[in-house]
Amino acid sequence: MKNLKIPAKPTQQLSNCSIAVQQMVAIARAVDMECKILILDEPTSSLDEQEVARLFGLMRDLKERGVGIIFVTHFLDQMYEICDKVTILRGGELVGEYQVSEIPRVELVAKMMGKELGDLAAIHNEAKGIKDENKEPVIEAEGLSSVSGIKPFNFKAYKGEVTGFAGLLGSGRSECVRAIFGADRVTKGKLRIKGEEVAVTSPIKAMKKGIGYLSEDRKRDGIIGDLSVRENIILALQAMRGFFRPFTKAQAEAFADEYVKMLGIKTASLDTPVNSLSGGNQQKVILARWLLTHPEYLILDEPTRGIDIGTKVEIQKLVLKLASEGMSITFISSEIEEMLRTCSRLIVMRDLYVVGELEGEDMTQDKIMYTIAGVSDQNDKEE
Amino acid sequence: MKKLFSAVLVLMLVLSLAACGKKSETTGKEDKKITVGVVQTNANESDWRTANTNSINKAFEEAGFETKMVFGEGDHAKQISQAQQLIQEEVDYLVVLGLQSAGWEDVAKAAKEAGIPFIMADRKLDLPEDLYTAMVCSDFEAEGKKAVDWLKKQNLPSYKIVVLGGDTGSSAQLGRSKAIEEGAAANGWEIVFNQNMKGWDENLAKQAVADLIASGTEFNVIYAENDNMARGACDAMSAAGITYGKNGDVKVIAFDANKWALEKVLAGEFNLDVECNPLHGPRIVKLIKQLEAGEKIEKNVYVEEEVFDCDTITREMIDARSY
Amino acid sequence: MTKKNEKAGNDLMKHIKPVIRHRLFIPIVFLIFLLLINIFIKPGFLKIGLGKDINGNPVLIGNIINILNNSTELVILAIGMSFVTACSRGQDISVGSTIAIVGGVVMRVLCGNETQPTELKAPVIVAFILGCLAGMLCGAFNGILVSRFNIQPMVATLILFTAGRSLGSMAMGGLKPKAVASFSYYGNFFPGFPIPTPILITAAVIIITCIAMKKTNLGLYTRAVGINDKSSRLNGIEPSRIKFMSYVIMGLCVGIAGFIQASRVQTVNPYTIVPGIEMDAILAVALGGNSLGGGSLNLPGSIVGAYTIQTLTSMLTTLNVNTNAIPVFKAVIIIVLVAIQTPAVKRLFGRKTQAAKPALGGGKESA
Repeated sequence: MKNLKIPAKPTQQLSNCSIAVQQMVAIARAVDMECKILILDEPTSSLDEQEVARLFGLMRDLKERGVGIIFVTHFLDQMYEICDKVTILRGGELVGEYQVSEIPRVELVAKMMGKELGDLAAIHNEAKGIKDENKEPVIEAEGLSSVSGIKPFNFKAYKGEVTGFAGLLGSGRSECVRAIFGADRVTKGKLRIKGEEVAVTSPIKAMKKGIGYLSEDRKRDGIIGDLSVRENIILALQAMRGFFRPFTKAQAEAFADEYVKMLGIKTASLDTPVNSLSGGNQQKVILARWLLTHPEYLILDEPTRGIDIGTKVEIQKLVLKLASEGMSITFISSEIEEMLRTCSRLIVMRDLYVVGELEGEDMTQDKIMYTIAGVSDQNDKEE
Repeated sequence: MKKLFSAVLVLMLVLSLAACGKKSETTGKEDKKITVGVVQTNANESDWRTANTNSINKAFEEAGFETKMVFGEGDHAKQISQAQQLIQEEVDYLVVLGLQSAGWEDVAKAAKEAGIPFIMADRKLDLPEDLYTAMVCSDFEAEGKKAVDWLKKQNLPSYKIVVLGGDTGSSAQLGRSKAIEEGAAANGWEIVFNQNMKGWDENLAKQAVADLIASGTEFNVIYAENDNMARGACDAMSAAGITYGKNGDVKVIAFDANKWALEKVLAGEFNLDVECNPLHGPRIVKLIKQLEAGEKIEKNVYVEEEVFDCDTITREMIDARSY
Repeated sequence: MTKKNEKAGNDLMKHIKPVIRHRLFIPIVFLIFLLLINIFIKPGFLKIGLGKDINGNPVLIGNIINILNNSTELVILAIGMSFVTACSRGQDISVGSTIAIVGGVVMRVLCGNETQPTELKAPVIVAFILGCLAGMLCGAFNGILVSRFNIQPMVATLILFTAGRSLGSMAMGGLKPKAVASFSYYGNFFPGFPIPTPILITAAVIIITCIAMKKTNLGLYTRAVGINDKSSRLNGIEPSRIKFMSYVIMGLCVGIAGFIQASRVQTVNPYTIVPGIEMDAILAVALGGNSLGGGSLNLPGSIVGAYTIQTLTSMLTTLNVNTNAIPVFKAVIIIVLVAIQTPAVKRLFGRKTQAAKPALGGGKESA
């Protein structure tokens, strides 16, 4: 553990640790076997940058000791940083094998997606187009805090606006939106929805007020694994409709069908258990679930984590489209670039406090970093 | 926690021993009330058990004994710890009505070491002669033999017997089943069905007999090892239109002889009911008095038990009974 | 490409696959298998005859009738147990003891403080309702322990499992009354109507369950909570409420079963009534292809499972299997039945059918 600098005691229960720590312990276990070849399948998808750097240090170490490492990732930067050789797969087929130093980034992405790249740039432009002209706050939180330990925060979201929460892993981004949604018990503060003060004591109350929440941990809080795609899609709307008013099979089928087509969800059938789908498609199923409820305010907590780049782009586009149709959206991502592309306003968090709000011209990577870092005690805090 | 508890118990034991020692030196036993610890099975297991408990309580009260009765409630291990507790409480006599026959050696040894006479009642326990003082037990095999003798006298043209056994492994089931199995073998009778019903359950017996009827199994004797199962079997036969009892096609033999069952014997629904006498109280009192007086007692005497035949039973016989 | 051949093969598969892979396939095949063994040994097994009881009333007599009749309690309990298992990921082991309580309440209401009452002290419907309420109360107690205090179901229900039979005895005031014959109609026959009442009650319970499943979201919610309760909460379902409800439903099932059981012989011995039925009910759920780890709700499976167990019991009786061998016999059959439903064996069965299925498309080409 010392080798990896895992911030946990060996005697601690693993389930009490953060996902990052759990991930690192899993890696430690693999390293411990002193293998010749180490396969790391998306090891970094829930690690923050420092942790990734630490992991890379270890990987280089192992490499020098003669261990072969196969590194599966969807992070292009990381691949460029650490890998010597890259094998590209698309849709179950081998596209090709290249030396990392010889293949430029654009070409790589193009090969992965099977077409020329232009979408990302387009998104960038669309994002600039959105402004909160219509100053009607859909959501207004005042001094809200919850049992999760976040400090009281203020937050407003307007119609047709995409907001974002930026901050490092564990800075309280998810906790803020969970408090708004009533997922964590609110201890203090007020929440106004369209000017009306409401006590959101449980998710169902929030849902009935027009809030949707796509949760951070897809496996644990999002999908209901053994239920079918259809059931997963209609679940939230069904819960809002009430216990004694189930949808008929035909209705459910129609809803599911509509959204499967709209979002391009790849599934063998609507009866397929959702956990046999790929991560990206699972995420789309949950997205479909919330879109079906037609929320006025939709929270997307890490919707792009652990999914392939193609789906990521699709989701970002969708967010912008929904916002342009008048939905208010909060978009949280660990990839700051993603948020810069989609959000028109960013709430910056550090150590459970809201430390800043950035808008318009201020929204640059440097500025965010600077706000997160505050003074310069960031390193100590995050250890 | 447990250790602490047992330590306290040991301490109490030592203290009470000391106290007892002093007492018996000065005052002697005459003016001290005799304390009898009774380890009973279940408080409300059956009518038989209720009669049994009442008999003991009443007889002890009349004799001026102090009674400490505890109930195992179906838990063999609980009974053993209760018995040990009573030994530590320094009762003068220990009466055990065991749920199971086996596993009582340690208790009996502890009682012997503490100088407490160990009397077993109801079921005979598996103990070597030197570990117990006396017994007030039913001889279940003898009960079964009485039924077999009666059956033999009926001179049926053929014997097709359905045996509804009690809880597997209880001494009553073992004894009564053994008697009919040996009787059938000796007389060339056919046992068409022989299974034990969990918990001596009336409804299980009823379902079993209904199944036998439905599958076309022919029988003309029901040998039910308690009253309830006999009643269940009769229910099943009624439902299928089979006649039974005094004037019926099927002979019904029951055991235990509860009062309500004897009414059925009188009404001719049961042919025979073999008593399993629950009135242990007076016998135990008599034994204890003999022991107190220093008389020698016979160790292995079984309780005398009667047989009630539908041809000879009278209203007076039923009214004379207390349970 | 040999598309024609492929198509023909697929067509054949299309017909066979849904049958073989249906979740009821194995339980039903096994039930039929058991019945066939019975018919082989006793050719008259399936025969149903119209007989007359001792009072001249018409009654149906036959092994199948007996199985349907005697499995009533087990079927009803299996339904309740399925809900409990599916959403709380554990089992209620107190059902046998709770039946003792229900039986005690029913007998006390009907007989008062007499051991041989000459008439019923209260209308039967009152006894039935009070019995069901007692069952639901016990269920609610278990439900609170499980849903509010997050105690593991087996541990929570252990309390009533231990105390229930004594409580039942206390409910009866320590008496062993026998109610008059008119109470027996509900567990046996109504005079003049040849079908055993319990069969009708079973049918009614199954129909009500079907309606409830159709008209409410019970099934969806139960499974969602059982699979992932955190996620269910975030989707607007209150897991603790659903869990609590499942235990109350279980309690209602126990109430109905306890009432029938009391009516069968019109007397209740709390210490010995329905010995070991909790394990049979759990087994029925398992035989029906439900995961005991929760999340799956296959009610038809549980019901078929319950009938399978009763068929087995009946078979062991009619074949006069040696008492000591019965547990071994049952155990062997159960092991076989549970084993063929494990994923490992299912894969063996389904290998051919699965090969025809194309591999699932990944999300990579979705852009």
